[in-house]
Formats: sequence, C-alpha cells, structure tokens
Amino acid sequence: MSDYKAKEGVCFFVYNNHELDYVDLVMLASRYVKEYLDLPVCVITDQGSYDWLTQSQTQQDIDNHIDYIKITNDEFKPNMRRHYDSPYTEFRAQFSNSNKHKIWEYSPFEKTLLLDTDYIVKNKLLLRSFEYEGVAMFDNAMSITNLKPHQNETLLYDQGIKMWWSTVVYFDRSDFSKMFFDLWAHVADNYQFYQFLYNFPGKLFRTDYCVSIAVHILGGMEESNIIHNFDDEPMYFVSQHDDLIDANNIQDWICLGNNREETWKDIVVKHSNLDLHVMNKRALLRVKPKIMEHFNDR
Amino acid sequence: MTDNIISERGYVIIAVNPIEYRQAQCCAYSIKSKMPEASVTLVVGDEQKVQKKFLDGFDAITELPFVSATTRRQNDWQLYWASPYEYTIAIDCSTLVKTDQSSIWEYLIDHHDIVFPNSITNIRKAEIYPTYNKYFKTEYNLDIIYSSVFFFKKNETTLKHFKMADVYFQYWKDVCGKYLRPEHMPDYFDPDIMHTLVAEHTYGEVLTIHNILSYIDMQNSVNTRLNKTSKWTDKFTVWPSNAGKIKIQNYAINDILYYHNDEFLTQEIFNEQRKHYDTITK
Repeated sequence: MSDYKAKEGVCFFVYNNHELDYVDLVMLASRYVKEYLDLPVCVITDQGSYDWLTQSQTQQDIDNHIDYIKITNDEFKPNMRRHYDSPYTEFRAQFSNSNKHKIWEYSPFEKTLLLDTDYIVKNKLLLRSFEYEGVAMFDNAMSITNLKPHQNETLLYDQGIKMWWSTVVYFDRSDFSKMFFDLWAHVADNYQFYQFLYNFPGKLFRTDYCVSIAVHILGGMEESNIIHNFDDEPMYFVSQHDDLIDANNIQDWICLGNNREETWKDIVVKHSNLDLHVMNKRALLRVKPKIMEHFNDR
Repeated sequence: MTDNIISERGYVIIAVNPIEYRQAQCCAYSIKSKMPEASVTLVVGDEQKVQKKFLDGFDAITELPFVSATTRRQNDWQLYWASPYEYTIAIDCSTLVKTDQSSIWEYLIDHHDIVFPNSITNIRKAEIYPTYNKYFKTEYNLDIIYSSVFFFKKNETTLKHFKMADVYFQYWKDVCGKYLRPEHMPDYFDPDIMHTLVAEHTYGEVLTIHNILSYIDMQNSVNTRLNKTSKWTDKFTVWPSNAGKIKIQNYAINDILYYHNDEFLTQEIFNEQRKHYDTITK
C-alpha cells in the first residue's frame, strides 16, 4: 500500500497525433472526473505531448485537473486508424495504444480506474468499481439512440468470443489483476498469432481485442464471470458517425444520432446523467470550450 | 426386441452405415472418457454388416427390432424396444459428450419419465433459435423440442410416445402434410419436428421438456447466424488437443456437442478421442 501515491485514482493515457489533440481532451475528461468522482488524476504521456500540455494549457488548469504526470518513452508501432467525424468527414491518424497494458506499471494508485480520454464521466457509477476485487470492464454498450453496437464490437468475429471494452478498465493490485495484465501484454506481443487463432479480421491493433482474448483465456476458454462488468450496466457511446452539437450545461448535451441504414438522417438526442464514450473526438473538441464555460460560469 | 436388460441405465446410439458406426464409436469413446462406468450400446439395422473394429468402446450391440429405415433418426421410435436398459439416454451418433452426466442421470431418474431438451446453444452457451422454431410457435402454437439427446424410462407412460412415433416417423411426409402448411414442409425427415409433433399429439402429458439435456448444436448455430445453409466446418476453426480436448473458435467444449457434419470428425479428432478413452479405461 505504501508504495502507491494514493489509494484510489483515475489514469489517462495521452499521446497526441497530428489530427487529434488528446491533451485538450484530457483536460475536459479530467474536469468531469473531478466533478463527479472527486479522485486524483494521473496523466501518462510522452515528452512531446507533455510539452504541448504545458504550452497549450495554463499552469493553473493543469494543477486543477491533473495530480500526477508520468512521462513514458515507449515506442509505438505504426497503427493507423480511420476516424470519422459524422458520416461526412473521414481522416486517418496514428493510434498509439500498444503500451496500454503497462498501466499496471505506470499507475501510481493502489486501485486504478483507467479511462480513455474520450470517456466522459457524468455520474458516480464508476465509484462502485472500487469495491470490486480484481478487474472490471464493460462487456456491453449502447448507442445514444439505444442501439447495440455493430457486431464486430459485440463479438470479435461472427461466432467469435465476446468483446470486452478497454475504454474503462478498473483494477486492484491483486495477483489476479497482475495475471490479467501479464496476459494482456502477452496477447499484445503476439497479436498476429491471436488474430489467427481467434479468427478476427482487420489490421488495426485493438486493445479491446487484447483484453477480450485475455478474459477468454483466464475464464478457461469459456464464457465466464471472472471479470466484473459494472453490474451489467451498458457503456453509452456517441459513435464516430454521430455528432455532439451543443451543451446546455455540463450535464445536458445535445447529440445527433446518425441513422445507420440511411446515413443522411439524424435524430436529435439530449443526453444527461449518464457517462458517455464520445468516439467522435473532433465533435467533443468542438463543444469543449462551451462546456468549460459552463463549468467556469457556475 | 431386446428382452435382456444388461444394465439399469445406459446410452443407446443408432447407426445404420459405416460412417455412422464410426461416429457412434467416437461418441462412445467420449462418453466413457467422462464416465468410465457408463454402459453404451450400439443400435444397428443389421449386426452382420458391422465390422468388428467399430465395436471397441461399446458394451453391447443390438439390432433394431423392426424393419429399419435408412435414415437413422427415423428409427428413433424403435429405441423403446431396442434399448437394453431400464433408463436410457439416446444420443445421435454425430455427437460427443464432453461432460460428466452422472448427476444428470440421478436427477432424471428421480423426477421424469421422458425428457427432451427445450433449448440448444451455440459454442458460447447462448441459446439459439432455428428458423423453424419461430413459425412453429407463432403459426402452430407448438413449442419445439430438440432430440439429439433425450432420456426415457420404460413404462406405460413413455410407451405412448414411442407408439405414436412408430406411425408418425414411418409416414412422416403424410403427417407433416396434414399438420404443416406446404411452405413449412421439411425437405428431409427432421427428428426435432417429428418428435415435437408426436409430443404435441400425445396430449402433452407424456413428455417433459427441460433444459437439463440442452446441447451445443453446431449446424443450427451456423444457420441461425448466417441465415443460410452452409457447413459450419467451413466457417469455424477446430482445434483438437491431448486428453480429448476440443476447441471450436478457441472455445473449450465442455458440454454435449452435436456436430452434425461428418467433416468435423477428422482422423485426428477421432484418434484423440480414442487415445483418451484408452488412457482412461485401460
């Protein structure tokens, strides 16, 4: 226990690329963590992103939002990901995620909640995870229009194994958690082999797939409940084809839910009081100034 | 008709040609690997046609007591008379038993006369619903039962099911034509549909449906998921390993596996099952 800087806390990985300012995103995400979870925040980043953090944000904001900064020097393999900003804009950017399993080593907390920078905490649901033993992740998700995700984000491949989301990973320092992260590292190191074994398509390295395989192996290669799933709560998400267009206040966000079959149609959705995984990061960055204004105006 | 009861309880497996003898033998290996004390009987059309090499793994071989159909499952109705057991679990030959069923036996004997499963699953143990399941319920108000594994005792109650099946199975086209609309007529003899109709027409009181005998149905997994008829063995990877272990899509199979398609039963898989059986029993 004494080896850790705090008993409980939240971590973010922040590696900027030429298209997306994850530094800006983490300032918003950590603001929400402070608001609803009231926990210390650790940002794990590289030197370049850290430099940008200190240039682009005021020291006061950094001090208010971030408690610990860990600078890493991991090498990232090329991992180009296709992003969308609504159905009409598409871009590609490096996705630096291959060291995510090292959170076991990097986290300064005894009990850690690892969040993606596009996961916005808007209630206290995740606090319950600190009562869990072992590891917790979401194993089901729901769009803002209450639809299930595409099949390749429910199962790895048709009759393949269930997908667990690495967007939110809770873990304690138990032997089981250590084993989980060791296995995650092993799968990541041998990704092509496991892709062959588990028969899933695509060239993108996905940590969701790594954790799903690790869970499957740890469960004796059967469906199991060895990992907590936040009590069956779904993870709500704004897909990359959806849009976030306004924020009435820090809670009420106005989104456009895109129709998957008829992509020229959208439905307006007001979303509040539920955590939200905003996969359309550019949309989040567009609305971020207004949200921060709402925080400052209170 | 079998007059000699060789054991209180046991498994019977119908097979009527060499491909099915081999499948049945592998099924027997799998049963005995999990339950070495289990008694398993091969039920065939003509005992003389069965090569000796297929008898390893079985405790007995018996003939269908009446004229046998070339479609093996069309002979299910004869099992009441063919089985050399008081309590019987009948298993389709293209099945492997990868679980110890000892406690299931105790439960079934204590509580039921005849039991068919009312659910089947995929390799993830998620329940699946074959296409015909939907219209059976909505259009005929019938609850489908599955028949690759079923349990029965020999008594007056269960006899009703087999007597009705005698007629229904032999004249299955006429029966289906009477009760099903033309668009729902199966192309081939379908044991699940026929057992369902028999169960329904023996006024429901004979049969118990229960998910205790639920099994993994590979063929229906594919049809359900892909909404078309295709071989599941073309879609899924199968990994046999030592101690008779089988993984499909890297799912460990620790249940009853109705594989249906003979292409699954490669020589490698067959040999592993036999080897494991030898290790356990000899």
